This record gives sequence, structure tokens and C-alpha cells, in this order.
Amino acid sequence: MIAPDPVWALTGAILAVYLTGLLVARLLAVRSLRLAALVAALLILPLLLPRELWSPFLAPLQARMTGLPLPLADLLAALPFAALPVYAGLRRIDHRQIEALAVIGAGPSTRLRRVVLPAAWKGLLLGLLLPALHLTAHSGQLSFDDAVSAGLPLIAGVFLLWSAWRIARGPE
Amino acid sequence: MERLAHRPGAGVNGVAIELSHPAPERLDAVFTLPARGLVGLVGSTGSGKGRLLRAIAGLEPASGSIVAGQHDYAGRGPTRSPFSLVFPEPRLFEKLTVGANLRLARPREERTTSPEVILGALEIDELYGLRPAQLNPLQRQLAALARAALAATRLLLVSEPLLDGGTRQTFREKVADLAARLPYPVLMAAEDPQEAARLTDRLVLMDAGTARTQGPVNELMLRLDLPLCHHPGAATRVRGVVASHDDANDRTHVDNRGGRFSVPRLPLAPGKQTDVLVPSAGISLLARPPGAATSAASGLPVVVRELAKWNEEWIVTLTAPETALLARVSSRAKSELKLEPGRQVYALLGRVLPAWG
Repeated sequence: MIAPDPVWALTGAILAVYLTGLLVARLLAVRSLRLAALVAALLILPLLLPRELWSPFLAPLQARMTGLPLPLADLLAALPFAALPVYAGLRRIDHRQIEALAVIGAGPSTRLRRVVLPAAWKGLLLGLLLPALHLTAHSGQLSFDDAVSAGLPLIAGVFLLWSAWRIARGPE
Repeated sequence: MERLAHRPGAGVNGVAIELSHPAPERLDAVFTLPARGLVGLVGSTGSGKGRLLRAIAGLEPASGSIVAGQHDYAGRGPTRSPFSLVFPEPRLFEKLTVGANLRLARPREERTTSPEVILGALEIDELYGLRPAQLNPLQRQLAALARAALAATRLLLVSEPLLDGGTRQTFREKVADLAARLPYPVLMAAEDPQEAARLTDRLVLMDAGTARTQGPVNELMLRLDLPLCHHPGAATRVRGVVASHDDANDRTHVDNRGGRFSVPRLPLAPGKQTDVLVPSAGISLLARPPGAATSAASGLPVVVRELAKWNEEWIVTLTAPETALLARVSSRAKSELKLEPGRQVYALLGRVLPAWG
């Protein structure tokens, strides 16, 4: 049995990382490719370098953000796992189809349903799953058993939803 | 919505367009579309036809006004402006059937025409259950045309389609058929002026980002200071009356006071008024009337009006009663025929096309 506190803290952390990742990816998707590559490299850098090297720089910020469920360094390290898949998903959106819907008066909800989600859903989903697994496994606040019990239902739930959607949509 | 009683063009019976955008993507368009009917937007590749259509649809930045009825629709954005654009490629949703693709169209104001009118004109009912991959390129483009027309309430914009010549012509005939039934105007881009002039008498000329010249086909084609007359597809329209049918050769003779024009058989009774299109490329000039042995259908007495040199050739405008023609001759032919304004010559019309509608 998992104590409610760490699970909620972890869920909050995952959502915070995911939303930040969405924001970063959204900003990158409208900017140039070169800038996107640079930012992606910067995001990945903390994962490649030893944590002792860069985490001290976060100390002043960490001191101010007392309400964080997990250390800021953990969140920062998980950010590329959210931002990069989402960015890859957003890059797959065909903007000519968005235009095609716009000029026939179809609004944002139709565009989301017909163009954005069909192109980007894998990236959006992966961007949620990867930081969730990363934070669950590496937060240190939960044991491995806890991580499995938090992560497996999540994966199973998402898989079930996805299967149901595939069946409902019928054959290609 | 802004009231525009004080603005120029307000209350015009049609669509008054005034759009501009500074260099390097210069755009400068001032013209008025009629309340209904097809208008050809002609200009060479790269002249900015596509960009103008996109700017009117709200997909490209441009400042100015687009006044239809009492409202200025400029700057509303593509989703909220009551104009629809048909792209060069169909942009249908591959996973949806044609019917589902058509149902994506959302008219932004109360519909001004019933869907049955649009679908009836395009005859695509039997395609409803099919997916775009099962259609041929013409059918796909027609489905895209239907989808755009279902969403438009004030103006339909049709880009130059990415189709080969014959298919493109069929598509454009469908556009003309549709335009004849819509209560709003249709602006159709065409690189080849002949393709537009065959379908409509109203043209807007686009040249290097500027579209300020509009008028009937002949008015634009016969102006030697405009680039249209140089185009290999330059042509003039001639109005006449169906005189008789030549059943042996499956042709129809159309007469006016200038002479006789022979076109492929028309489904019209003698006495009906109709237009024919005379391409400049098919005209040769003679100093004397052609003999009976000449295979060309007509030898028309014409008077030279104006001449202009274009590369190694001369562009000549010719007139006869009720008739205006455009011809291209070599420098040698020009000196042999002693072509100069006022001189009478005979025009052999190699090819005359029936105008649409």
C-alpha cells in the first residue's frame, strides 16, 4: 500500500514537468529548427553531465521554491523526457491541413481532432509516460515496488484507452 | 462588425478588394469583383496570384479592406472570414470519406446557397462513400472545390490546380458551371489566359505582385502595354450568332458582321447568340483574300490597329466589325505584308474555340 503523500507529490511533479515540457515544445515548434536543436541540446546536457557539476547552480532557486514535491534538479533532469517527444509530435503536424480546415471555417476543436491529435498523439503520450517513469524510478522517494505499483496501472490504463480507441475507430 | 457607410466601396454590389503588403513580398491589389459570376485572375508564374488568393482568404499578411455588402472582412483571419479557398492540391483528409470531408465545411454566415445546388453542379454524389485514395486527381480536386464552396458565403477563391492540361480544363469547366449557380463571385487563378478567357469575359491581371487592372477579356488582351498580349495563350472573344451547323464536319458556324467563325459543334439552335474565342497563336495574315483551296475555315478582312515588337516577333491588333483579334507575326512577315496601322489584310483563323456557357 502506497502512502498517499508521495504518490500525490509524484503525480504533481509529473504533471508539472509535463506541462513545462508542453510549453517548451510549443515554443520550439514555432521557432526555427536551429534554435530547437540548440535548446534540445541544452535540455539534454544535465543528463550527460554529473549532477554534482550543475545542481549547485540551482541551489538559490531551490531555496526559494520550498513547495516543490521533488528536488528541482530531478524535475530539470526529467524535462527533456517530456519536451522532446512532445516537440517531435508537434513537428509531425501538417500545417497545410490546418490551413485547409481554417479556410472552410472549421474551428480549433476540429483542428485538434482532425489534425493535431492524429499527428501528435504518440509524442504527447510518450512525453507524459517517459517523465512519469523517469521520475518514478529515480525520485528516490518511492521504492521500486512503489514505482511499479504507480507506473504499471498508469501504463495499463493508457494502453486500455488506446486499444478501446483503436477498436472504436474501426479498420483503416 | 464594423459598419462601413463612410468607406470607399461600402455598399458595393460585389466584393471590393484593396490589399497591400510591402516589399519584398510585395502585394498591391485594387479591384472589384461583380456580385456573382466567374472572374479569371490571370498572370504568369510567380506573379503573386496564389499569394493574393491566400491574402484574401486571410492566410497571408496584408493590410487593406475587403468589402462585401456592408462589412469589411479584412483582418478577420481565415476561419472567420466568409471566403473559402481551394488550394492547388486538394488537401482532403485521407482517412475520411468524401462525404465526411465535405461535412467539415462550416459556413461562417447563414448559407447563401443550398448544398444541393453546389453538389448538383459538380456531380460528385456517387463519390460520397469513397476515400480520397480511391478517387482520381480530378475527382479529388472537385471534392475540394465542393468542400470550399459549401463553406463560402461571400466569395470563393480557386487556386491554379496541380492537374495536367486536359484535366485542368475539365476542372475549370466545373468551376465555371458552379460559378454560374452561386449567388456570390468566384475568383479563379489561371496562368494561361486562354483557359480563363474561354470560361469568362471578366479578368483581373496580376503582374509582379500588382493587381490593379481588370476588365473584359478583349480590353486587357488588346492592350499592347500589358503583358497578356505576349502570352502564347493570348486570345480574344468574339460575339456572334449561330448561323448554321455543318453536320458533315460536325462544326457550327457562328456569324457576326465581321465574318464567319467555325467552331466544333455547339448544342445551340441557329439564331442563338454565343461567344467564340480566337487564340492569337492560330492566326495567320495574308495580303490578299485566301483562295477557295485554302483549308483554313475563314479568311476575315481585318484592319490593322496597333503593332508592338516583342522579342523577335510583332504583336498586331486587328479589327473588323464586331470583331477584335490579336495576331503574332514574324518581323519578315510584317515587312512583306507592309503591316502598319490602318492597312487592310486578311486573317486566316486556324483555330477557333467555343466560349463556355
